[in-house]
Amino acid sequence: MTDGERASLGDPFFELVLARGRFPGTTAELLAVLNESNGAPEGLPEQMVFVVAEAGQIPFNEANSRLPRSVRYVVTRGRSANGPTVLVSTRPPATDPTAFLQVAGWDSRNKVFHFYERAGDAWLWEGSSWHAFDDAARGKGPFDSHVNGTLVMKELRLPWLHWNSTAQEIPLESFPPDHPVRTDPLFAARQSADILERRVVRPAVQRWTRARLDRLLGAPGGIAAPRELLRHLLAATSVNIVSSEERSRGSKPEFGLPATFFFDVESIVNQLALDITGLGQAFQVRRPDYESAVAALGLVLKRSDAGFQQAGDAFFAWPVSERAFEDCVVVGELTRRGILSPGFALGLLMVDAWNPTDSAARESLLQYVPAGTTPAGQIEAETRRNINIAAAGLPPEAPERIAADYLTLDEAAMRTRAAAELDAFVAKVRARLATSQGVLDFMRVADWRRRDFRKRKIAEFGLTLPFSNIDENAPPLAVTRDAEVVER
Amino acid sequence: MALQRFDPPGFLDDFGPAQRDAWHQFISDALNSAQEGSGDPFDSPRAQFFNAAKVEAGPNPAFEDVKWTAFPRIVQISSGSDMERWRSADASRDVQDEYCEWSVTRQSGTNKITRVTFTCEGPEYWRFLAATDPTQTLALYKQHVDASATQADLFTPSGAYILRNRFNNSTSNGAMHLVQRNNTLGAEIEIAGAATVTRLRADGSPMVDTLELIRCGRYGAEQRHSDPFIGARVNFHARSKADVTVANPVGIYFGGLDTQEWETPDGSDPAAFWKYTRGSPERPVRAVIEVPSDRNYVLGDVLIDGRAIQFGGQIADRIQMTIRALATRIGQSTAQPVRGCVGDGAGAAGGPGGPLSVGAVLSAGDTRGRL
Repeated sequence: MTDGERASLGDPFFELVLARGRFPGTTAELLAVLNESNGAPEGLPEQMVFVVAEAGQIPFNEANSRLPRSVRYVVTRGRSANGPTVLVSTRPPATDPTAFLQVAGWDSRNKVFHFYERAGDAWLWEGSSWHAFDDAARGKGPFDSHVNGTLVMKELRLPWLHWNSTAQEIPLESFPPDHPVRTDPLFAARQSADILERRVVRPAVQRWTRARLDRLLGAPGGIAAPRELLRHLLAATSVNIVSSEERSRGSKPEFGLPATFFFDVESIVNQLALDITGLGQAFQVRRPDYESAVAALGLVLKRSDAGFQQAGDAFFAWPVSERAFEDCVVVGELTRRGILSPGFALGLLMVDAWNPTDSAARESLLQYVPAGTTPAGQIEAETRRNINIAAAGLPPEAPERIAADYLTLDEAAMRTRAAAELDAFVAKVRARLATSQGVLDFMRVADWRRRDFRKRKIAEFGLTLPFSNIDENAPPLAVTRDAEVVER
Repeated sequence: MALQRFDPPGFLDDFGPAQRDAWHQFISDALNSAQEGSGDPFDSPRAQFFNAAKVEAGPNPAFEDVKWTAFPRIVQISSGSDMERWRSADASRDVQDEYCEWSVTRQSGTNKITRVTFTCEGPEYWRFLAATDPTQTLALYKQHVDASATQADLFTPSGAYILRNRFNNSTSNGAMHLVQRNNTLGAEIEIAGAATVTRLRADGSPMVDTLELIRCGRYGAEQRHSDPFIGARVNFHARSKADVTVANPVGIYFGGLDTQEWETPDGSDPAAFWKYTRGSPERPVRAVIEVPSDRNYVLGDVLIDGRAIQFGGQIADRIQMTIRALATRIGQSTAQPVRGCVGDGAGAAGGPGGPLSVGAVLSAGDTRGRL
């Protein structure tokens, strides 16, 4: 590390620990070093512990005794007024010098996260948030999962699939009698994942997104790589995992599927404020249809290396990828700052809106975004112009034509049309979900998106999502505007 | 030594000595009832629940602040978007069922929010206060809700307190205490008591699923954040062979407001707008958020996650609620798990999940005479 790099590290982990010549070898030692500063103005006395375990809802027994429980902790430290600024990712026991030990620290001076990892007796600085976009570091080290340079909580929303939460505790009974969590004070202090979501991860994503845009928009001459920014609108730079609130082995005769499985509710409705109501009850399935589909696809949780296999869905029903919150926040910020008009963003999101996480059609529009440095105020205009030029002479189903047709409308007309199209789509989905074949078709789509998820580097644990009897390399599936499921 | 006296929620000082004694007895009785259980053979008695005024807590008890989000889960899971759920939650106190209710004040003309009041005070306290000191009750309404409140607004001609009076029955005209039907201190105590029963499934494996426990024990409302989670945490301690109770002062409390990613027009700290107006600093039971009058903007001009505050529910998203559980004699309980659920036993005495005696005590209407 150069002196310049050292000088650029202004996060509290560096300042309270490494800069003081302390190189803790375990989580317990790290927390003890932080505790030494608790009484100081710069101290971080508030600690919270969150626990995630893919096998956390699988009761321990002799038959599954070889199954790793894959339990990890996120320990946060902060001062109450400012929220957590140091996040420790590790596994139990806290005294184990061989356990992985990673730290993310928010540097309020430079407005970046710094990422660190202990390697043997040393600590490595693995980069800052900006390295996520640096060609030399992109996809490497911490940036294989922190692809946008900020915190990641894959299962961000209720019911927080594998986290200890108000929706479902991770019980001690899931662990072998000699497992370290049974006596670990950190595990005993675990809090609900809703706190991690609300108090830690969402604010962190928003904080970093604003800092990133502040810097990008402040650059002389304009934004250096507009496509990097609009990728958040037109592609899925990452995904989150969401599921039904209902347990897969629950008893409700009918239950709801996550709305974000069907379209990008977070960007379109929450960020861009398209007025669509009634979504909460729109996507109901009857349990017999759901269970038939689970059986037909042979859903199974498995971990072959541990000889573990359990028939059925995950603990909560219908786990599936959704558009990443970090992408949606960028969309919201770009429109709020006037870089993109809400109508422009909405018009492009409506291209193949029925495939929120994996639309080649929508992503193909990236080619019309200026490639080089462009003044922020011209990005939308140039993209509009490029799309309009490309659309001429193309058939109506071409993404360019669909986008161009939308972009000719003023915002009010566009909102009316988008709402009408989505209302019609939701009605068709609802009709299909009322049939067993429709439920099976949509579960095939969910399965495809799970297979697609497993290709991403954030898919680190085999038990995250169920497998099916469909070949992992089977052709991808798409949903049409008529709510039909087709091969691409 | 056992606890000498249960304090009023949040160490409130509305009571005189006789009222304080009566309140202590009231809580103690409620805890006794919760310890006895419903009479159902799969629910009673609850050997791992105890009344700290009768049984000493013992050395080195462990305290846990069980926390949950104030925004109602039932609204969250039945809504498809943020706007939809905020609008729904702000529409009626009857859906604000996480032991936190609120009322929103808006600016005439602009309809912008100027103030939101949050309360987590149980109705039992207010019924008791109103029955024993109507003058103080009216004074508190005047102080905290509306200076124009009158005796006739709060009491029937025969002197009975109107729980859902005009200053406490909506999301726009004030909130003095909880009125949603499940938001009671009695419910909190009953959940804590009922959840101490450890259970086995039919196959002999321990029952650990949050929903399975609440259904089997028939305590609380399973669609909430709060009840299943309180039950799960209490049951966790019980499975650790601890004795468990609700710590003094028994009550529901605000656990804090998170103002990260809030933006004010003048850059000031929005956390300074949040004030606790009843209860002790550590055990607050009432909170108000509003922008000081010397600023040239109002609460509705403040942004949360880039969106202006249009609903109280946006703030409730950021509020933590909490109760404090006390676990002691960890690993020492000899109580055996129950193999069966409430209501499973034919001819069981008592109704499973029925109203707790706290409600019965108050509904008897004899509190005035007892002082």
